[in-house]
Amino acid sequence: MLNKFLDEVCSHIRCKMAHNDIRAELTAHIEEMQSAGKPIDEAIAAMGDCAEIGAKLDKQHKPLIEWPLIGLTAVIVIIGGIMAFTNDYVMNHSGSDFMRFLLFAVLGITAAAFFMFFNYTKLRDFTWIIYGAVWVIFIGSLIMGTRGNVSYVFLNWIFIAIPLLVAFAGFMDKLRGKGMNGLIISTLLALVSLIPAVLTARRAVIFLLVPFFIMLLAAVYKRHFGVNIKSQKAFLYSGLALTGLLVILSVIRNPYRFARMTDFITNVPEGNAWLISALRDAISSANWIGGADIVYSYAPSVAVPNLMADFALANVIITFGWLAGIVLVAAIIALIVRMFMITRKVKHDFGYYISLAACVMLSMQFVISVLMNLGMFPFMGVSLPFVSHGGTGYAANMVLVGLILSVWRRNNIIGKVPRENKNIQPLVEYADGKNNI
Amino acid sequence: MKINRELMKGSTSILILALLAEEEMYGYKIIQTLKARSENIFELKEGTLYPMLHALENEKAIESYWENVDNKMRKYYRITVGGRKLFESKKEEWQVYTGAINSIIQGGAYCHA
Repeated sequence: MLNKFLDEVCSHIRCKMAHNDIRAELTAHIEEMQSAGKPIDEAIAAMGDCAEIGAKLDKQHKPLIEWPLIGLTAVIVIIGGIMAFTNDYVMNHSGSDFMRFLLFAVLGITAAAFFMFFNYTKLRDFTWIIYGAVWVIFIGSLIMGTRGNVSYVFLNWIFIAIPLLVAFAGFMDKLRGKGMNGLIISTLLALVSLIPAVLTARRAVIFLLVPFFIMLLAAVYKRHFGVNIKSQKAFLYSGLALTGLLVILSVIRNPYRFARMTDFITNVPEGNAWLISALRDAISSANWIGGADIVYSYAPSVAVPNLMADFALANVIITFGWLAGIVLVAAIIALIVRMFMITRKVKHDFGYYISLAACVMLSMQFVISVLMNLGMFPFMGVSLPFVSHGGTGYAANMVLVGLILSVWRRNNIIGKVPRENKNIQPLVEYADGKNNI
Repeated sequence: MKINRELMKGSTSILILALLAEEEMYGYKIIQTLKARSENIFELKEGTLYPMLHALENEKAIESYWENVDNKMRKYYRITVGGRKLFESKKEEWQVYTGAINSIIQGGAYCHA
């Protein structure tokens, strides 16, 4: 009888993932009435009309679609498309940028859509498998191939970074409420996870280190590991200071690296700096609206190599003028703000950490790429997400957006995991046990 | 006296927030407390309460957790920091509103401002 009532209510709630939690909650309510002396049929009747309660609950558990985020991503993708089209067909540069754009856009949007509809909570059960797989791939490629092959795998660092960060979110979720120990274990895990990147793709290190650190910091401020957050904060900030010190030391000890980092300040056309100065020349000749004069004297790809990949923003400014560049940067800023805004509202811990990691990874690429394009950051091969379709990184960034959308989509759907660890029985077992009434 | 349902509609969430601001509660207890405190005037229906609780949770005004008390699983709700702010602003809004209503329906003689 109780089941019939619950089935009836749930039949009005389209989101199946919310069913278990709602069934358990309504069952608990009816049991309270029974223990207050009401017979079961009266208790169920007191709950009111199944269709009414079901319809009202359905309204609260609708999958959410983050249209602003989708829209902003689309704007940036389209700007990239127009750019590629202009390069190929208006400026008549020999190349197939537009075909590449179409290919990667279709692939990327498919990937984003797949991950948006994919129930990310399933990944939590595979935390160890995901983490293990990254190491198997890493060690396997160390044994099987030459160093060249290894760096090929890790060249697209983002493909390794995504599963690593997802696994890390899973470990953090498991370490909830474990206090200082939880934080120390998480930190050690983060450091160990850096090993493949340190050994093969140095560039990837910073793209892992920063998300790891921000995830840990957010966890401490959320009191994820436990109540005593003072010592946890001290631990994290002293770790940050130590890392900073190490970076400064390594930069000072290595003159080449130091020179590379200061190139963009000195603006002397030597070493890497010629790239920066060519970029500055090209940008400084850009108009407000319309193509830069320099473009007509020689192809921009000669002036600035990797124009489509690494210097996408510069390319937009040179080809369409500053206004287009400002529109693109505004869309990027809006996208970053929006991503963090919705991530802040994520209720589920595992989802929150995944979403946060994705936000940090995307924002880092955006910020570094924009600053690099404007000659305000040392040159490193970071492309502008959703605009540069130079490689597989395009699809990987789409996966990141897909994950953020997936987390948001299920924000109102997933019942919260029991917080207090003491005296908690598994929910499923409980629901099964009570099904026999 | 029976209170018109339409009249209660807009104020249900403020009642729930008021109770949760005092202590963490589960659904059944919210209904019972409301009934006892208002001397049987507010009889909140389950069909109203749970969707409202879930809506408040979606707004992050409250959060829920399961707890086992005396071998019974209960889904407790507690108010969040944002929820307290929401409650304060709703309370103020309510006081301004009822104050204005009172000063009109009771006539000028009763106006104590």
